[in-house]
Amino acid sequence: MSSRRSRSRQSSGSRNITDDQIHDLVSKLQQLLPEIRNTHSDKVSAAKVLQETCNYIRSLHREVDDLSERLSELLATTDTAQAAIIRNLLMQ
Amino acid sequence: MPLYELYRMTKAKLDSQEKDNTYATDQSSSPENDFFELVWENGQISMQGKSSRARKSPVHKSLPSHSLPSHSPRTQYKDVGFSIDTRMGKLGHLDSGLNEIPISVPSDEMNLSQDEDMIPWLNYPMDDSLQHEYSFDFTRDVSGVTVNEFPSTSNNFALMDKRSSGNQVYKDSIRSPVPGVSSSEQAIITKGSSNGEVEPSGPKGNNSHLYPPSLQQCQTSFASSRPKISDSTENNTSNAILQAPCGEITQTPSSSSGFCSLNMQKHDPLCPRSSSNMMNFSHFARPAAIVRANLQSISMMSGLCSARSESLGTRKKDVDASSSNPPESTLIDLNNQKNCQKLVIDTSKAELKPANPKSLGQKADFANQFDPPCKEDGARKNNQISDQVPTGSGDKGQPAVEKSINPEVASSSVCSGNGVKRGSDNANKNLKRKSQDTEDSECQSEEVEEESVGIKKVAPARGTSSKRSRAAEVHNLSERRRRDRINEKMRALQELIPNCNKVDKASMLDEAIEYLKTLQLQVQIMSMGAGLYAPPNPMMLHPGMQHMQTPHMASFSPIGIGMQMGFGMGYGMSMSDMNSGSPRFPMVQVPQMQGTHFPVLPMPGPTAVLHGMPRSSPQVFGFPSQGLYMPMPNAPGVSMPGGPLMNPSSSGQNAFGAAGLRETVDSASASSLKEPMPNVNSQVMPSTGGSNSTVQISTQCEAMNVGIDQTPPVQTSGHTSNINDSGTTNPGKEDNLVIGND
Repeated sequence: MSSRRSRSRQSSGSRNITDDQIHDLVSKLQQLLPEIRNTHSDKVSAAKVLQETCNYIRSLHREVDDLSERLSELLATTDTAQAAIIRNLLMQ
Repeated sequence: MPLYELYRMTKAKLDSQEKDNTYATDQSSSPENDFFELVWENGQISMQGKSSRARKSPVHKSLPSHSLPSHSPRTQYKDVGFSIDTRMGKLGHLDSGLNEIPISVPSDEMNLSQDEDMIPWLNYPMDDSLQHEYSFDFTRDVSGVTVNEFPSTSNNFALMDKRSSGNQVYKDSIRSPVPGVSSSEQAIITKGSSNGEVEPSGPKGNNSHLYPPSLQQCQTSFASSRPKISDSTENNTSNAILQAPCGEITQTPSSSSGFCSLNMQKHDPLCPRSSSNMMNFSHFARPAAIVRANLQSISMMSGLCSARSESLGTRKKDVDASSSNPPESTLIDLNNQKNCQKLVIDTSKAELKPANPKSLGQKADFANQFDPPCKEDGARKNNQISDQVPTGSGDKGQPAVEKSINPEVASSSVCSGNGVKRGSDNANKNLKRKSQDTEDSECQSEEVEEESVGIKKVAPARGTSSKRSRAAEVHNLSERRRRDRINEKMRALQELIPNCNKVDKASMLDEAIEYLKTLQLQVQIMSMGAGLYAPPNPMMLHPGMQHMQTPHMASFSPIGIGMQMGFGMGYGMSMSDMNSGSPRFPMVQVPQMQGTHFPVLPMPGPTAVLHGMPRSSPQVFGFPSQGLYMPMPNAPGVSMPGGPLMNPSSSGQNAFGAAGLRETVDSASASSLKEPMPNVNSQVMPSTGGSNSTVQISTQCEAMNVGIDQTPPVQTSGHTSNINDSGTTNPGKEDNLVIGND
């Protein structure tokens, strides 16, 4: 029992350090999320931040898909000369 | 003691009623006996003034039962009890024994038979036993509020439990006489026959058979059941037995309010040693909250287990351990089920220790006994778990009711009872559905935990020690749940991030942050490009971008916007990129930078743009994490905006003119128009040294310029404005723009 307890204490000590790190990272992550960027960091749980991050990444993926689709369409419809220039630029 | 006497009085009344019933229905078959017993319960309930069991009563009243043997045995039981245990000498023991015996017979039949028809009725006894745990907890909490009703219910439950236990014991006893029976059906038949035989033969005989085992309790039953574990029915019986002791234990606290002494005595026959513990516990238990109740149950169990183990031996220890697990209360059980049973038990014990020193000692013993046996008995555990799991599932089965009721402790007890019923059903069908139950348990255990936690919180704190231990447990649970949630989200995040093989949280979060930034930048650029090509669509702009831009936009005059924003943005971008070395959200920095760096910008802006475009696109898309994400067609699409952007940006800078760099810009733009690639590159290369970061910056700057130029208010249509600018400054560019637009 006692050994287990002491072990748990140690592990908790080491875990606290990572907890701090994770807390920092989570708060950093929170700053990237428009949804909860302006809310006070203390009032947002890590789980919520992570959930929001997942949602946000999904929305960004969707957005990127839409945009890439649109851009490809636009590119297809653009003048060939222009496209050629761009292609040349890209080739470099 | 007066309470005890009253209790006896009521019991005597009940017995008389029972006897009447039994006599009337003596002829009924064994299954009917079970029903009769239920009636008997009703009688008790009515005596106690409870209507909770009313529904059961109508069904069972007509049925006759073995109650006769059970009742008759009572008096005889006294003798038996005395003979068996000196402690049994107490009258209370006799009463308890009597209660147990009648109950035991029907329940045994019920359990063993497992007939579908029987199941509904069978469920009830099972439910009762299960309910004991729940009711026990709830009653504890509520005891302060509604002592009368709950104690009565608890008594009923206790009786039910006793019956079930008795049934189980009875089963065991029957079994022992009929060792040859291996199949459950045969066992049932034999039981029925044995019951029938026993009745005519004489109550004494029954008593002798039943009681000794019952007194020794589960010991014999365990011993017998253990070797036969292979039989599913036996497993059930063992489980039932386990539950039964639990029920009894639970009863003690509930009944302890009025009938502590009785309960104690009742327990005594089962476990002489435990009685002393029981007393302490009973005293403690009263005020104690749910956790307390759990602890007590555990301690009780421990006491029982210890007594058993001592008497029975090492082998029984395993059984005891297994048995002890179920009684420990739903909370612990659920926890155990979900996670490591050991850990939970240990924690609970640790928490409990401060609360009850005596119990602790026993608990410690228990723990020691517990863990090894638990591990050893994998199959056993599964069975038990499955049995208990149904209870959890039952709770969940009526999630709406329970959840809504949870805050109300009193109502919660009823709900739990219902849930328990379902759980009991599951238990009856346990053999068939073991696998399912286990699965359910996994899924539901968490919710159950939450519910239990909620209940705990609701429960009023009585006594500092209990409060402390409970708080610790609640904290433990909540902490664990929090971690589980976070881990779950982490996994989801890991799935969303491509090429993320990181295991530890910190690097995972780092990766997520980087990926998020990358995605934001990508979307930003792409939206700009899209906006360029299709100005009428402001929607394409990323919400974040709009959010960032609009405030700045408002502050600027329409004329200066293009220039300021362009510079500011460009510089901000460059600064951010330079500093971090990775793409950043540039928009934020814009306001501070604009004023100071006006002059600097023109040079890098256009040049970098022209030069950088080709590289920018690869970089943007080239992020390792994104690599897979972007399909090939996207690259040109993204880069495309750069081409047109270049023109507008240069034009915008030309328009700015004021900076004095116009000439260079003009030349650059002109060269770009005529021979965009070579000239621009040549110029750019020396001047800026075109790093990727600058390239990106320039592209974004230009994009911003375009967007800003377009719109004084909202930058929606960059198209026309760009064209206008270019038209004024550079006719040649107009062509490009037009072409691009087309």
